[in-house]
Formats: sequence, structure tokens, C-alpha cells
Amino acid sequence: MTGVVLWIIGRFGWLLSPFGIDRCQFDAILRVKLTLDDRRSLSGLYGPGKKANRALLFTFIFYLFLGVIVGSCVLFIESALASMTIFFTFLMFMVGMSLIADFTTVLFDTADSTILLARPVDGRTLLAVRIAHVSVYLAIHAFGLAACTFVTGTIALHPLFAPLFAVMLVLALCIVVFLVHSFYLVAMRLFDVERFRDIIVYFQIGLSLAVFGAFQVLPRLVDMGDVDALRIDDSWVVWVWPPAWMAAPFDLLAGRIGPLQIVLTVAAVVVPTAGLILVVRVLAPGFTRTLVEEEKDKAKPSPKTLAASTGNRPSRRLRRLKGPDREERAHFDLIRSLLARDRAFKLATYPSFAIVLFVACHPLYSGVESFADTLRNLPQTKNHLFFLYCPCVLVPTALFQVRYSKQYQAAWIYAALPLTRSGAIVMATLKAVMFRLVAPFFSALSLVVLALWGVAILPDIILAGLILILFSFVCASTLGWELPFSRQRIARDAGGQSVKMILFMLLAFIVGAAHLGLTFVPFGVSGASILAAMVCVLFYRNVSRRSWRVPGATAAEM
Amino acid sequence: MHQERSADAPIIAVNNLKKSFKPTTVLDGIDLEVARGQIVGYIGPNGAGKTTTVKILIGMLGDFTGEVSVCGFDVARDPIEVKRRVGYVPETAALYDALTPGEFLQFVGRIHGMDSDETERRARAMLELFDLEAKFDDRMSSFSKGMRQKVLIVAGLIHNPDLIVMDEPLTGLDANSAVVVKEILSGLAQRGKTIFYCSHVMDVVERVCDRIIILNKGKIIADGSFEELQAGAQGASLEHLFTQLTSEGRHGALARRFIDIFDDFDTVDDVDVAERAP
Repeated sequence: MTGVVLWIIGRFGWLLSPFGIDRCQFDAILRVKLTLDDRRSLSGLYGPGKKANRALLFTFIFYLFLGVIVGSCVLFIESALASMTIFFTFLMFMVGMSLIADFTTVLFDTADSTILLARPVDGRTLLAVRIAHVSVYLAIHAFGLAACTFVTGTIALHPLFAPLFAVMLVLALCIVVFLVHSFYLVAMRLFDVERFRDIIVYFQIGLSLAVFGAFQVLPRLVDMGDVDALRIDDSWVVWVWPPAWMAAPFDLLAGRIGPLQIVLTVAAVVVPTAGLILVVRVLAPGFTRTLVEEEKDKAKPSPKTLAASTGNRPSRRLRRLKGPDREERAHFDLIRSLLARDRAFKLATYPSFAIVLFVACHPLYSGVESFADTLRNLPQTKNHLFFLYCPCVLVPTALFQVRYSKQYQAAWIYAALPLTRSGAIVMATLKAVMFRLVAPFFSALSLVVLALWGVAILPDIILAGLILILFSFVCASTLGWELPFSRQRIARDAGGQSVKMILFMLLAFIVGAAHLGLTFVPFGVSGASILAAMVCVLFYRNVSRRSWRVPGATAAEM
Repeated sequence: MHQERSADAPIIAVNNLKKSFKPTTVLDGIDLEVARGQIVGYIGPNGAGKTTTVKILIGMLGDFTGEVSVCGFDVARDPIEVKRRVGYVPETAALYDALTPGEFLQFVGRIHGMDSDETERRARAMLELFDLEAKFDDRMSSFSKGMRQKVLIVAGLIHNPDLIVMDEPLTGLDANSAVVVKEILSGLAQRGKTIFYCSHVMDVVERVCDRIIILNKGKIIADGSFEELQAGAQGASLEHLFTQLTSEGRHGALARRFIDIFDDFDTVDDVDVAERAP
């Protein structure tokens, strides 16, 4: 892929020389940039940390595939305005999200400045490379998504669809660049570097959810009975919704000519052009200046950042829960802080929270009746158990992910410290994961369930909570023990564990089903709660006293 | 126009160089001239301004006051020309991890406008001297600190620069490779290359460099050959001279105070540190 892209760009090499750009340097830098892209793992496509080899090609194929789903809209929906609005919404959203999620690391690469600034490269060449690089990135995503629509649009709408489509595609990308650029400027003004990086992680999580959502929602959309008559002309949203502007010319092409279509078409041409001029003239210089300031700030972290992100205060109140002795409390505090700050961990774990929620809400939207009816009838069902047992799915994922870190070598500390009780680390890890991730999630779900079903189901919540704790003990015991944050993420690790993950989900389902059965037995739930509480205490003792094989060797070898 | 090619013109000429990062003044009036073929050791305590000087010399950092000319070019006006003639080995191992040494060096060669066959030949030959030829096509993400340092050294030398600026270049290198580097440096100096060597390792500076400059709080406080610096204190090591000059002999007292700290905390009771804090 890199070779093909470079060959294509090489065809346009004659454009560079008049601007005083060194073609040889341009080629060299762009080649390295693209090679790095090719070997970078992309969020939304792979799990973090997998060694990517042909990321660009895979991205292209993946987006090509996504493009088929969204491209088929044009065939089903009668109104060109509606179908093309869906397409451009999807395109602009996906491209914008991946620009922020994947490309930010490239923009903020500090290795870059150290390596390139020491070499005889002038600013103009660097700017040209940056523009070419962003363009290639945009092109790969946009062409992937659009390829199918090129064909379907020509079939469904008009023979002249393709050239118009190409123009609108470029204009849509201009708007995306403008919006992303503005986002960067605002975000950098409001947040310091570390917060900014955290925000990027949430975008990456958002992207992987969007990809998941696209596969779930879009086919359903097509399944809906009256989708072919979908019209959006009379909605006020089209006036403020840029993708709708991009779609308007296609309505003209289809022969529906009206004031709406004409005004929107004008907007579709004027706004991106104005936006691009704004980026080049006003925003881009400011952007570079801010970047330089960011660089300087990086040298001395502001005390505010450190204090704000430490967040140890509430846990101090939980001192008793943290552990019976100093050692366990120390482990707990360390792991808890790392959990809150390790971006790769968040990236690997948080999407599963949202996916679980998505699955949990399944009973709400899969029914035949309307949403309001579903909500009204909910208290008569036993669906609350579905919500309450969802967090079980997260426990193994989080416990499994907690062993990985980018700075896995830092785990040498476990090999070097005089640790007396390996159970303390196990217990502390378990508690940190439960308190930091699972408990807030479970509490939030419980509140929702309480609000919808009423106080009568409180015993169910208590039992589910106890089962959740039990479940975590079982997971910790069967997952195989590793030190927290002590291993490098390697692709092959994940494979062996996925079977276990499925078994855990099955287990959670069976336990949930058993709980459902108990609700029909008088005092079944309360009786089971007492039993579960006792087993919890037993497990707690067993886990914290057991001596685990602590594989410090991995850390010590480093 | 440029006095670049006249052999006796200084390769580095710095006149009243000042640089501040807003509230703090980092460099406070540096005057310096370095002739071709010298190996200059540039030493100073942490935060003295060594890395800042280096970054200005190689044209990475503008926005200073004073005149700085390197290889006959004004650094402020012609940073690109300066960079063409300078080889820089940075302190922090900044490399593109996902590349192989071969790819990375090829990239560096192209930036310097070198022929790709020639780059390949030099890269292989140089890496072979560092026992890295087998790793030529492995990604550097798996490399140890020393291996990365070797690649950085090769990347700094591959375009055969007139001035070589090194910031702590021996970090992580094994003894054999360190000896090779030191030999390379004196060999290059004999061929008229100039080496500007920043380091904290005093005995290496003492042995390798034929001129030593000591920087403290943004000012040059000593400049001369090791023998000249030794004048009046016969037999003293560079380390000894350095501490005398930069900490005015306070290090003994500092060390004692460090050790004294243990006396205050001899009995560590079983209370969390967090609780002790107000």
C-alpha cells in the first residue's frame, strides 16, 4: 500500500519543485511517515498494542467494507437527499473521529521534532509533507468508504453521479478538516497536554464504539419497513446539518429542483471553501504557535495537573476496605492510580463497558412495540436481572487487561521489593479493579433499575452485588495470575484467553438464570444472599492467604 | 562570501550568546571559539545549559541573542546550511521504533541528499563495527538502550559531517563499543573533524578531549586543556577540579547531610505516610 501511495504521489512530484520543496527529502520523510502509519495499530480496528504490519491496507479494506453497508442506502432510499445525507453523515463522522483518534499521535509526535529538527530540512518541505500526509490519510478513509457508493449511486441516480460525487467528497473532507482543526484549537486552549491526551483516548473509545454501532444499527435501519420512503426535506435540521448540504446537489441531479436544494448546494460549496481558507490563513499559524507552547509546557508539569489527577482522597476514607495491612494498601493505591491513568488500559477496557450497556439495553429496543410502551411495561418483566448481571461480563476483561502495560518493565519493582505476601497483590488488584471500574458501573445500573422497578427489587440488587463479588473471585482464581501492569501486549496472548472469556460469560448467564429461578421461590433471594455473603467471606480469606506463584522472572529479565 | 573553507577559520564562533526560557536565564553571555580538529569536552552540572548550547549550535533552537556561527554560517540566518554540515547524537534516544535500523539510516541519508547505495554501504559497514549487522532488518522497538544508542551514533555520523556534536553518547554502550567510539572520535579529529562532546562522565572527558570547557549557571567558568585546568592543583582528577569549581567544595557537607537524614528516621513506625501529611 505504501508503495502504491508513494508511486501515485511521485506522479505529482513536478508540482513540488516550483515551491522550492526538496523532492528527495519530501519523498524520504513521507516514506517514513507512511511506513510508521503502516506499522501503527489503529484504534477501532485492532486491540491496542498489536503489532500491525499493513495497517494502511487493512484500514482501506475495512472502510471499503463499511462503505458497502452505507453505500447500499442509496439503492433502498428513494430520496437522494435522505440517502446521501446518511452517507455524508457517516463519512464525515468516521473520518473526523479517526482523524482525531489515530492521527493526533502523529501530530503530537515529539520524536519527530527531535529527529527532524536536527536535520537540514526547511519549513516549506515539512509543511508539504504534512499536507501530503494528512491528504493520504483522508484519501484512504474517504475512498474506502465511498467506493461502493460510486457504483450504487451511478446505478440508482444518474450517469453523471460519479464526477459530482468526487467533488462533493472533497468538499465534505474540507469541512471535516476545518472542524477537527477547530476542535484541536479549542481543546488545547482548555486543557493541558495530559488532559488532552486523555480526551483523545475517549475519542478512540468512541471510534471503536462507532464501528461497533455501525455494524449493529445500519443493517437494522435498512430492515425497517418504510425506509425507502424516508424523507428529510421538511425537517429544519437540514439547514444546520453540513452532510445534508453535501447531499443537496444530488437531489438536483435526480431532478428535484427547489429553493431548498439550491440554497443547500450553495452552502455546500461556500462553507468548505471558507473553512479551508480560515484554516490556512488564521487557524493553522495559531495552531503551530500553540503546539510550540505545548512543547515548552511539557518540560515542567504544572502542579495543578498532578494534584488533580492523583485523586487519592476518597480512597483514604476507604482505608479499611483497602486491606488489612500496609502492604496490601500500598499495592491497592498503586494499582488504583495506574488504572485511572493508564491510557492503553482504558482503551482496552472502556469500550467493553459501552458494548455491555448496549447489550443490556437490548430488551428495550428489540421489541415490536414502541419505545414508550416498552418502558411502561418494563416493571412487569424481570429484565432488571439482565441489567444487574451485565457487569459480570466486565470483570474478566478488566482482570485480564490489568496485567498489560506499555511500561511493563517498571514491574521490576515487584521483583526487587521485599514482598511478604503474594496474596496481598492479588487481593489489591482485585479490589482496585472492582472499586475503580466495576462498582461505579454496577451502582449506576442499580440506580437506574431502582428508579424503573421500585424498591421491591432491592433484594435482587443485593444478591446480584454479592454474586458479582463472588464472580470476581472465581475469575481471579481461574484466569491465571500475573502481576499487574507487568506484561507487554502481544497479539497472540489474546487468542488463548477468548475461550475462557466466553466461558465466563456463560457462567454469568447461568448464575443470572438461577437468580431468575430463585425469584419465584419464597425467600429464595434473601436466603441465597446470606449464603452468598458467607461464601464471599470464605473466598476472601482463601484468596488473600493463598500464596500465588508470582512470576517476577519476566520483570527481572528486563 | 563565507569564510567556510579557509582552514584556519574557527568552526564554531560564539559571541555573547544569551538565551532565556522566560523567567529563567539559561545562557548568560557565552563566548567561545573552536578550531578545526579539536575535541572539545563541554561539561557542567545539571541545568547548567549544556543541552541548550548544543541545540543552538546545531540550529535546532532559534530565538537567542548574540552571534553564533558554525561551519562558517550564521546559525540564526542559515540553520539549514549548518545542519547539513553537523552530525548530532542526541541525549534522549529519539528514534522511530517501528522502523528497522536500515530503514531509519536510509531515511537519514536521503534527507542529506545521499545516494541510496552509498547510504546502504556506509550503514551496513558502520553497524557491523558495532556488532549490529545481524539486526539490520529488525524493528528497533525490541532494541536495548545500548543498541539504540549505536544506531543514533551511526545516524549522526553517516553523512560525514564536519562538526560532530554528541550529548552523552556512551550511555548504555558496553565497554568494547565505548572504546570503539572513543577511537573513532580521535581518528576523526586527526582527519580535521571537530567534535563537541557533552558528558557527565569525567574520566572519559579527561582522556578523550584535548580541550575542556566547564559551564556553570549559564556561564563558562573554565576553558583549557586538562593540564591547564590542573595548573596549581597537580595530580587532581577532572572530577575533583569540576566539583571544586562548580560546587565550591560543598559536596562533602551535602553528602554528610544526606547520611544524617537516616538518623532522624531511624525508627520507622507503622503509620502511613499519607496520615503524617497535614
